[in-house]
Amino acid sequence: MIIRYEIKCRFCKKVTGTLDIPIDSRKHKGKTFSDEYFNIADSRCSDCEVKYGTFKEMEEEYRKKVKDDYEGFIQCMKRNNYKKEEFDKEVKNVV
Amino acid sequence: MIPREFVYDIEDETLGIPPQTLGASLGESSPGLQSSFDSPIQPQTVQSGNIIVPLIIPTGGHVRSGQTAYDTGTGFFLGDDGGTAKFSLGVGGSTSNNVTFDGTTLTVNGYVVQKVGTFGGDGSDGALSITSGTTNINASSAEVVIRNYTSISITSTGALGLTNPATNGTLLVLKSQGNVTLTSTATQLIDLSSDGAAGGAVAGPGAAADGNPGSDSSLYIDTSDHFGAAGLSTGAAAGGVAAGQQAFYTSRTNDLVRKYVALIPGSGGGSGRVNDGAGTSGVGGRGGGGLLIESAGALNFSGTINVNAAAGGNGTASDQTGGGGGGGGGMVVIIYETLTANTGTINKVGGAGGSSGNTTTGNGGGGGGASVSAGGAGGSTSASAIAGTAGFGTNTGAGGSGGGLNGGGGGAGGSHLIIQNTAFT
Repeated sequence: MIIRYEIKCRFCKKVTGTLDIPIDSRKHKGKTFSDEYFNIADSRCSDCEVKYGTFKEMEEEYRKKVKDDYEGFIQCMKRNNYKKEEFDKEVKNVV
Repeated sequence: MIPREFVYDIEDETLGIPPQTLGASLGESSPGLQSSFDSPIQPQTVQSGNIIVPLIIPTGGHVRSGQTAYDTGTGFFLGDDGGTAKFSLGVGGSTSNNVTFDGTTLTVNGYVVQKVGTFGGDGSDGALSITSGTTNINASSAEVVIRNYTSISITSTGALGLTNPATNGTLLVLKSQGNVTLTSTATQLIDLSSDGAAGGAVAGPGAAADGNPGSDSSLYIDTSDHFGAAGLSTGAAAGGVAAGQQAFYTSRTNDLVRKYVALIPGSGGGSGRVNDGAGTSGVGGRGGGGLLIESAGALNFSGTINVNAAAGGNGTASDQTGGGGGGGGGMVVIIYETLTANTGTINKVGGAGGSSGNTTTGNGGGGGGASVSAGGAGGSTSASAIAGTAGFGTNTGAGGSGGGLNGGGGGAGGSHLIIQNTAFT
C-alpha cells in the first residue's frame, strides 16, 4: 500500500512529479504531506519555466547582485511572485 | 511438592489439573508452584510455554549460560552478585571482547559494529518520479542531504535541483532500493550547479576574502586547500589545489575498516580585491555541488547532470577592483548494481573568473578548475579586465590563479566516477 503525493507546478498546478510513499513507513506516520514537509522549495512545469524563469537562475542572480543570503532571496521571490520578469526589475536596480 | 523437572503445558489434560485452574496456579495462589520457583537451591528447567508473571531475581539469584559467575567464563550472567545487580556478556575478564555492568559502570570492551545503512537505502521516502519542469529540494543549509527512495525516475522533461546549500557546499545523496532511470531530455536532469561552497565575499577597501572550502572536517578528502585565494595587492592570488585522488578503500587512521566514497562539493573562488577608495570588487563564485547516487537496481542514464560552478563576479568600473575567481566544479559518484545504459553526460565545469573594473590596475579572477589541467588564469596586467577562462575536462584540476593585482583565484576542479557496486551491501 502506498500514498501518492503529487508534486505540482507552483503556477498552473500541473502535476510535475509524484512521490509514492509506503503507507507503513514509520518515518511518515502521523505527518501531513506538503511541499514543505518534503523540503520542496519550488516546483514549476516546463512551460512555466519558459514563462517565468527557473528558480535556480534567480537564486544565482541574487547571490551575485545582492548577497549570498537565502532568506533574503526567498523574501525577494515572494515580493515578486516567483516570476523572473518581476524579480529582474527589483534586482537590476541593486548596485 | 511438584517435581523440579516439570514441563508445563496448559493443553495437556493428562496433568489432571483443569486448564482454568492451571492458569491461576501460575500466580501466587498455587502454593506448590510458588514453592518451586521460590526455591533458590536448584536450577529450574522450562522447556515450553510462556512466562506470564514477573520474574524477580532475589539476592543470590541469577540467570546465566556459559558463564559460571559474574564476568567469569564465556557466555552471559544476569543477576545478583554479592548484593549488587550485575550483568556480563562475552568472555569473562576480557579487555577486548565483553560487556559488563558492575552495578555502577557499563563497560564495553571491543568493537561496536554499527550498521550505518544498507546500500540503496531503506526506501522510506518512497518512489520519486519527475516528468516535467524542475523540482527543487531545499537543502536548508545542510552539508549532507540524504533521500531514501525505492526508485528514482527522472524522465520526459523533468529535472531535480537543489537550492539553499551550506556555506561549505552541500552533498546530495540519492539512495534507491530499485532502478534509477535518468533519461529526461531537460538541459540538466539533475542540477547541482552552484551548490558547492560559497565564494569569498566582497570586502572593503584594501581587502578581499578567500573562497570557502568545499567540505567540512568530516568530509575532507585530503589536506589541501581547494578554494581560490583572495585577490592580492602584489602578485596573483593562488588558485585552489587540485584534489588528490583517493583510494576507494581508505586507509585514513580512524576508518581502517570502513568503506566509504571520497566525495566533496566544489570549493568557492576567492573574491577580488579593492585596492583603495571607491568601487566594489567581484565576489567569488560558488563551487558546484556534490552528488552521490546509489542504485541497488539498474542504472539507466542518458541525460545530463550538472555540477558546474558559478562564475566570479565583476568588479565595478569606478576604481582598482579585481574580478572574483570562479568556483571549482563539483564531484559526482554513481554506483549501480546493474547497468542498462550509461551514455549520459556529467558537466562539472569550473566558473569563469570575473572581469576587472579597471583597465589599468585591476585584473580578472582566475577560472575554477575542473580538469586535469588547471582552470584558466585571470586576465593579465597587460590585458586587464579580461576574465579568467573556465576549467573543463574529466578529472579534478587546480583552480586558475588570479590574473594579477586584485583578481581572485579560482576554486579547484571537480571529478566524477560511475562504477558498478562491488563493495557495499
